[in-house]
Amino acid sequence: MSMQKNESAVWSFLDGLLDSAQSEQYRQWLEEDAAFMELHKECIQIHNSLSSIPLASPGPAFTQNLINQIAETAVPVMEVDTLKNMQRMAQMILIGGILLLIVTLILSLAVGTGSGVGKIGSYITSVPQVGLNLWGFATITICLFLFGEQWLERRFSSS
Amino acid sequence: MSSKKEDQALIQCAQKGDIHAFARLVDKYKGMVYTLAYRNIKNAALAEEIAQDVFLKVHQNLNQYTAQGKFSSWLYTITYRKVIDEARKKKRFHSPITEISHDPSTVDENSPSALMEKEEQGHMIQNALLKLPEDECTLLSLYYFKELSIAEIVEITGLTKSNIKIKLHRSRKKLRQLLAGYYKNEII
Repeated sequence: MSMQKNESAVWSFLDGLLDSAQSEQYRQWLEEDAAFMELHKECIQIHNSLSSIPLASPGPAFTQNLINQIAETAVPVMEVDTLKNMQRMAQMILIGGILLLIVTLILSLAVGTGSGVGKIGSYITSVPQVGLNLWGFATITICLFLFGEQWLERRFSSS
Repeated sequence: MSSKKEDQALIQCAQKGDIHAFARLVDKYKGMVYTLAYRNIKNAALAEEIAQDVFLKVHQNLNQYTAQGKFSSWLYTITYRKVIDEARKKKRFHSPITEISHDPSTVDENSPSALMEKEEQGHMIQNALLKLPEDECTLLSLYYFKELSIAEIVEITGLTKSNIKIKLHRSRKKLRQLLAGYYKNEII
């Protein structure tokens, strides 16, 4: 690609955007043209000065003020953790209670069909009947669990 | 530890609620954020306010940051958007240019005469920079102060590669015109 001998060529050279053929041509211009060499030197000075300008800095209390501002608005991390742990514990108690209720109901159904030592045996024989009832209990349990979880979440998130 | 790894470690601590880790990130990047704001807004108090807002936003959204990208690019994107937004507001309510201080840690400890010369050059360049349009000034700041690549500037600003190249060329041409004579005399 042809290149024009102007200031844009100098900036492209300093940015490292010229290919090898263009760089060769550029070097030739520098050797042959004193005015172009002067322009090249001037641009290098600006290029170097721009790179070495010190950054401006905010006031000395900048970081401290910011941290204070964050501390005023943010919820402490410990508080969030405690809340989550309490929520988890309450959920576990609820699930545990429901499971216990299911087991008790299943066993009571099984017991109702037999007597004495044969109770376990009758439990086994009554499995199809229990199985049918189990679907009802499972549905109720899932509904209870979902409702309970939502209730707990609402309760904790609002507090 | 490399800068990216160091940032990553600090971010992970900050995400867990370590405020001191976040303070270290602020100390590391406040100069650049403030400089970008000042170059655009040209008002020291407002620039500090913008820098505060940027870091508050970063803290609020820290959990959204993923380690895939560079933290600095993410931070400069937030800064760039905030600065552009404020510059639009400022156009409606013009505020005067105010003086700024400079971070002494960024000045090299050379000989007194070299320091004076550098300081003079710095002042010349900064005055010239403040006369450039806001967007050109911001691009030059991103390109030179943090030595970001054009690809990174594309990511931050959302401008096209060719647009950035043109703006960089144009702004440096203007800068050379503004500094006409100063560097010519130095070369001779």
